[in-house]
Amino acid sequence: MKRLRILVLLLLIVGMLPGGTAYAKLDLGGTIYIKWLDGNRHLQNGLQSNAENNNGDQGQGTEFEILFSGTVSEQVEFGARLKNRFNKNYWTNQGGFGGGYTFDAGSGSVTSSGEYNSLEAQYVKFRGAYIKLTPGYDWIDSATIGSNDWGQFDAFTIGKIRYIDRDNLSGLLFQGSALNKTLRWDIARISLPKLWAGPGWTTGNLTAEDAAYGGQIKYNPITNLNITGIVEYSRDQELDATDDNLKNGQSVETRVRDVVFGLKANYSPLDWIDLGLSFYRSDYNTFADLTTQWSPYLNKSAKDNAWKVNIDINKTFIENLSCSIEVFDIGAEYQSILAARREADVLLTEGHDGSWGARMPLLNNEIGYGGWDDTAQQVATFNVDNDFTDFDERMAETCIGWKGVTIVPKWQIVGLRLQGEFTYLDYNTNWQAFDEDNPNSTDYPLLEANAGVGINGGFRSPYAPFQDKTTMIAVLNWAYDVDLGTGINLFGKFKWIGEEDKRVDEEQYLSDGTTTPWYPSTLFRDLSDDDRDLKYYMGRIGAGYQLTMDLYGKAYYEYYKADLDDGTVAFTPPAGAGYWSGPYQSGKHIKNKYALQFDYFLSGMEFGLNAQWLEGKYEPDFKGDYTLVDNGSGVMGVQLADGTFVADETQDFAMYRLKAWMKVKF
Amino acid sequence: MVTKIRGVLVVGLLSAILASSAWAATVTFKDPVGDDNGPGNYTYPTDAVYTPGSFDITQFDVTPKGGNVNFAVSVNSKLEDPWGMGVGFAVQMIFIFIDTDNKPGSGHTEGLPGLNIQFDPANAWDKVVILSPQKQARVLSEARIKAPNLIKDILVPNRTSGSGKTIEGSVKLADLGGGDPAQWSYQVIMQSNEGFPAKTDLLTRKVNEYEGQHRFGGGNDADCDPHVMDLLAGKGEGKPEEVQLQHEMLKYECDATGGSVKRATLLMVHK
Repeated sequence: MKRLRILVLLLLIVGMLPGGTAYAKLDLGGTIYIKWLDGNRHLQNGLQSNAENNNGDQGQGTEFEILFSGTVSEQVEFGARLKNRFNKNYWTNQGGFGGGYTFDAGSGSVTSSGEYNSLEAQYVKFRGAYIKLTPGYDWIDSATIGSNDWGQFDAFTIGKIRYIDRDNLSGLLFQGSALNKTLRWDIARISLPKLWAGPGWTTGNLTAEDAAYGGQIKYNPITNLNITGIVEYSRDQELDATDDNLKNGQSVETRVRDVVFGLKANYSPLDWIDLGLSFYRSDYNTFADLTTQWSPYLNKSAKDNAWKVNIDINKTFIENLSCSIEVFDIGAEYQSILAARREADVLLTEGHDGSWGARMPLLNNEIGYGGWDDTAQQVATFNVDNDFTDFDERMAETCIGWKGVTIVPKWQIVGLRLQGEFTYLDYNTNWQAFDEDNPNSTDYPLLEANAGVGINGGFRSPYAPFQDKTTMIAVLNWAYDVDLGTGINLFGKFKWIGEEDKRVDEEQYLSDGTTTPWYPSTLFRDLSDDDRDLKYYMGRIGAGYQLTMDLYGKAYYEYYKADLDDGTVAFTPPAGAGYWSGPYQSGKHIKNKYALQFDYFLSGMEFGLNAQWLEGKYEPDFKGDYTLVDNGSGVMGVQLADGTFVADETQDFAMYRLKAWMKVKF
Repeated sequence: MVTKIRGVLVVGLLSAILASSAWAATVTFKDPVGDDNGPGNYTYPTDAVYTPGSFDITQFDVTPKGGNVNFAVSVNSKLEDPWGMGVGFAVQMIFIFIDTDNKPGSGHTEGLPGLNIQFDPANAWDKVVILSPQKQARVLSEARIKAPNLIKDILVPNRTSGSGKTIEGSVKLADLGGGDPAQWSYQVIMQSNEGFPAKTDLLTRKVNEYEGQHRFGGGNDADCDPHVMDLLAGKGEGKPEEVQLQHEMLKYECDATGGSVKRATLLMVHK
C-alpha cells in the first residue's frame, strides 16, 4: 500500500516534468528587521517577549533575510529563503565573536556564549525552498514541491502553519481545476513535524516518513453559493519491535492515525443575508500508550465533531445596523493533528483577553504581568502555540470543548461606530472525574491545568478533572473620528466576563478519595469549597492622530478589574491534582495600562514603537472559615489546607515594556 | 471650573458630530455580480483567505458629508480580517479614479503602478482615492516612491474601514478640488492588498498566467496585462451587458517577451 502511494506520487511528478526552454530569470530580495526591546524585568534570554525557552525584554538585534525567486522556464519557477533569526543575537554579542567552547554533557548541548552558541552567532540558515511546476496540462494546474505554509486548506483540518517560520513544513501540493475553474481541487502530502505533531510532542523514533495527506474540493456553482469538502489523513509509524527477522526488511506499526472530514458551505440567498455552515468529524487513533498528561493530543482513541453555523445579516430595518450570529459546538475530543495552532481565529467571539494570558500573572513570569495585547484568537486544538511572540501580538487560546452562541451587532450612527458582542459559553468538558467510568483517567492531557484562560488559567488547557462551568462575555466597542485637523480617531471599549465553575458537584467525590485521586477528600468539607466565580471588567479609551504625513501616533488607557473567588481556603489541591498549583489568587485584581504607539513610514522603511506602563495590585480575599496567623516573621496571613502560607496584604505590581522596530525591504 | 471645561468639551464634541453628520444625496453605481474575473478569465489566488466574491464589486456609493466626501464600495462577500489589519478587512484594495472636470484631455491617462492600465484621454482622471487596509502613511509613502509624478493627486482617507460587505473611507472635498461629486465621473478598480509588493507595484497583487497561493491567475507573467479583478462599466447600473463592456475595456495584448502591444484602456462611468 505504501509503495503504491509513493509510486503514484512519483508518477504525478514525473508525468508533469516539462521540457525546458531558455527562460531563466532570477529575482533577489530581502528584509532587514531590527528590534529593540526594553523593560523593567531585565531578561536577556532572547529578543521575544514569549519564546519557548528564551523570554526577554531587553536588547537590540537584527534579522536578515534574503529571498530568491525566479523562473527557469515558462513552466518551472522556484523560491528559496535564507535567514538569521533573533534568538539571542544581541548587538552586544559583536556578531557572536569570541566565547570559549563548552559542552554540557548532561544536556548534550553547547552551552558557551558567543561564536560556538548557534543562538548567539547570527548564523544564517536555509529556511525554505520550493519548486513550482505549471506544465500547462488540462488535468492539473500546478504542483508545488518543497516548503509551504499550507494556507490553502482550513484551520480545523490543515491550518496555516507557523513553527517557527511560515514555511518550515515541506511537502507536495498538487492543484487543479475543472468546469471553467468553478471547481478546484488540492491534494497534498505534508511531512509531519516531529517536534510537535504527535502525543507527547513527538512523532516517536521513526519520523522521516511520517506524513499527513490532504484532499480538498472547492465548488462554486453559482455566485452566491460555494461548497468545500476536505479530508485529512495523518499517520505516524514506528518500527515494529516484534519483527526480529530483518532479512525481509523491518516491519512498521502505526503509532497514531487521524482522519478528519470537513464540509463547509456558504450561501447568500439575498443581498442582505449570508449563511454559513461548517462541519468536521475527527477519528483519532493512538497506540502510543502514553501515561503523561503533558501532551498536545489525547492519550486515547476518540471520535468527535466540531461544527458551527453563521448567519450574517448585513442590512436591517435600522439604517447601518448589521448583525452576525454564530452557533458553535467544538467537541471535547475533536482531534485534528494539523489544525491551526495559532494563525487563525475560528470563532466569532473575541474570547478572553491576552492581558491575563500569562499563566501565572502574579509571579510576573513567562510573558509577564502585562500579558499580550488585545483579545485572544481561538483555535480548534489544544496544541496551541504562543511561542516566539511579542507582547504587541495576539494570544491564541484553545476552544476545544466550547459550545454556545455569539451575537455581534454593529451599528453606525452619525459617524459613531459601535460593535457589541454577547456570548454564552457552555462546555462539552463539563464532567465529573473526567469520565465517571474511568476516574483514574490519564486520557486527557492537563498541560498547565485549570481549564480556562483568565486569572489562574492556561490558554491551552481545555480539560479539568471536575468541571461544571459556564461563561458569559459582553462587549461594547466604539470608535469615532472627530473632524479636527487631519482627524482625531477616538476609540474605546467596555468588556465584561462572568465565569462560574462549580468543579466538584457530586458528594461521592468528597467522600471517596481512593477512586478520585485528583481530589484528596481531606481537603474538602463542602461541595461549595472549590467553586470558582470570576467577575471580570475591562475598559479602554484612547485617541489616535496623524501627526505628520509619515507619522501616526496613538495613546490609550486600559483598566482591568477581576473579582475572583477561586474557592475557600479549604480548597487547595496539591500539585499534580489536575488543577493549577500556582499561588492563591482569590480576591480583587486591578490593573492599569498606559500605552503609546507610533507608526512611521519613510520611503521604503517602516518603523513602529509600542511603549507600555502597567501598574496594578492584588488584594487577597480569604473565603470560608480561617484564622489569621503570624508566619514567624511578623507577617499575618492564612495557612492553607496544604500548608501554604498566604500573606494578608496587598501585592503591588509595576511593569514597563517597550518594543521598537524597523523594517526595510529591498 | 471643571464643570465649565466639561461643558465646553461636550458642546465641542456635539458640534463636531452634528457638523460631520450634515450630508447630501448619495450617488450610487451598481456593478453586476460574478464579473470578478478581469478581462473574463482571471482567477483568484489559492490561499483560503481569498473567499469567493471578495473582489466582486456590487455597489459604489459617493456621499458628501459636511466638508467631506465618503466613498463606499460593496463586494459580494462578507469582509474578513485574516491578517489582523485591524480595520475590518484585509485582502481588498480599491482605487477610485475621479474625473472631476469632465473635460476631455484634462488630467492623467496613466494608471497607478501595479495596475497596468491606462485611461482613455477623454476620460482622464484628476484625483484618485485609495481604500486600503494598510495605514494611510504607508500607502502614501509607497505612492511617493512609486508614483512621484502623481502623488499630488493621490488621496488616502485618514481611516478606511470595512464592515459587513462594505469598505468605506472619507476625504476632504477641498482636497478633491471642491465641486459637486454628483457631477463627477468615476472608475472603481478592485485590486488586492499586497503587503509585500513587487518593487514597482503600489501595494498591488500580481496577476500571472497561473494562479498561485497569493497571486491571481489568467493573465501574463509579465506586466502587459491589467492587474484588475473588477471595475465599473457602461452606466454603472449593474446590467448584465456591463460584464461584456468590462471585458472589452480590459482587453490587452502582449508580445512574445511580455511587452505591451495594447494596454487595457478604461472609460469612466457617470450619472
